[in-house]
Amino acid sequence: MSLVSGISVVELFDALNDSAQEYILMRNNVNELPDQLETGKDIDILIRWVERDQFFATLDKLGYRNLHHPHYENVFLYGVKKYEFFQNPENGIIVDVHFDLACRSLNAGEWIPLDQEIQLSAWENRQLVQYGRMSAWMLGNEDLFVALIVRSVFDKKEFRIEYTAEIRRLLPLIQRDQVLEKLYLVFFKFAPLLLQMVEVGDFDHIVATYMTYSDY
Amino acid sequence: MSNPGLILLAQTQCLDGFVKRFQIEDNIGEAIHIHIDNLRIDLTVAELLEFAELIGTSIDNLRLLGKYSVRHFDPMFLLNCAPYLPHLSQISIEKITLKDLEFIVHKQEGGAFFHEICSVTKTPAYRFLAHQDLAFLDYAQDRYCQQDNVTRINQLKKSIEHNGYPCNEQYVILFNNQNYVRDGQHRAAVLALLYGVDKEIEVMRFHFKENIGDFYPVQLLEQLNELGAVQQGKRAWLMRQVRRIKRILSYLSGRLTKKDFSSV
Repeated sequence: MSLVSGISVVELFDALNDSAQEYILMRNNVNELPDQLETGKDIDILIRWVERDQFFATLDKLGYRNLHHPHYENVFLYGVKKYEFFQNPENGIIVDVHFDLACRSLNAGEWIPLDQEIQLSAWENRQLVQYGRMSAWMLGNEDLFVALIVRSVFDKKEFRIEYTAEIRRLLPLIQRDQVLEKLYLVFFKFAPLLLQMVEVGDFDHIVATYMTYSDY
Repeated sequence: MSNPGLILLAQTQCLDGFVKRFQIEDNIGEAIHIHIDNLRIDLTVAELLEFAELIGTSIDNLRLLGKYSVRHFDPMFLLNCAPYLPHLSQISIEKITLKDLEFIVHKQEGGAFFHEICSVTKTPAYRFLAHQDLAFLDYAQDRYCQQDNVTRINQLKKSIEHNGYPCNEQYVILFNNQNYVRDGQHRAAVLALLYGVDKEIEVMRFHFKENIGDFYPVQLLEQLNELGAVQQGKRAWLMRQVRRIKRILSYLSGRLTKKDFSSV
């Protein structure tokens, strides 16, 4: 397993932090950034659509080149903007630029946006987090907690160990009522049972229980 | 607010019909949506199940299936033959030997889908039962949701051994004057295994007006060529079209990028 250079990762975030550009690092499970990022894995960054030109110019200055995104041919619904892929040929770092918090629909895997309330909350509650010598703007604890659950259920269809570790880490840090309110916006009446299952660590049964849930 | 937990349960459309779009969606945790053109009806799961029961009872009361009830049929079979049902004139029960039945096996080569017509002993279900041919494990089936092929065939075999055939008016089904099995391929395979291919069994035959519902197998061009049905030049043209369709299918399924596709 080869890793990309931690120094280059730190330099990327230093440059982003120094620019006037607002961004959100969408996740950093098990603190893989800055030093444990495997070659070929991307860094997911959320930016505002209206600020894309400025952000792309920043990446360009740092030596990143725009690539064909593997999901380019996917279906994006309800205004979700297609993601943009950048790679720095010198250090191999790949940046996946997102413009919305979105997930795959169970229907045919189309990308659809999370509720507007969650989109707004992402920007209102973002927080600067220190990871060793790297600092990055992250989702607020509640939004990150919800985003990790949503990604596990809809995009991965399973709770991977790096996701459960991060969810467990966040559990004592979140405001339960706020999280429940946000989970309602995605999972509707399944939200209370979902949160209960997360709280007791019953991750293995969440997806199957959700798919067969019928109490509504 | 959009629900990512959306599962399309059923849909049909008829662009020149009175109702152009009919769609039933399960929005997990939220509601069942029935879309009829621009109208949307929201139901709970319990309401949908009650509604489905009522529709079943109505179909029975209207005698759309003659003296038979919707409960005698596999719901997926009824769904598939729903377009033909308004043209149903009669349902008869008749006898036929298993070796006289023809079976439709769905095949895929690259991006091309086609049918192979075979006898009961060549069906994936029979080959699994008689010879443990594991190709059956991967054979795509659209009936019996949430049940794998092996569980399904073993349960069916047990049921036929225990209850006999037909049980609860559930027959092997044919359409019009054709002997293609339209429903009950697994039942026929179990019967052939238990009693041999010379066994005479009762089948149910749906008779539609003007032979609506007749089956026309899609065959591979190579097979057509063997039959001398395609002239050399025409064959080359057709093969080009097949290759083109395969590439389009690959493109649609995401295996090719737009750039690859542009060379088509």
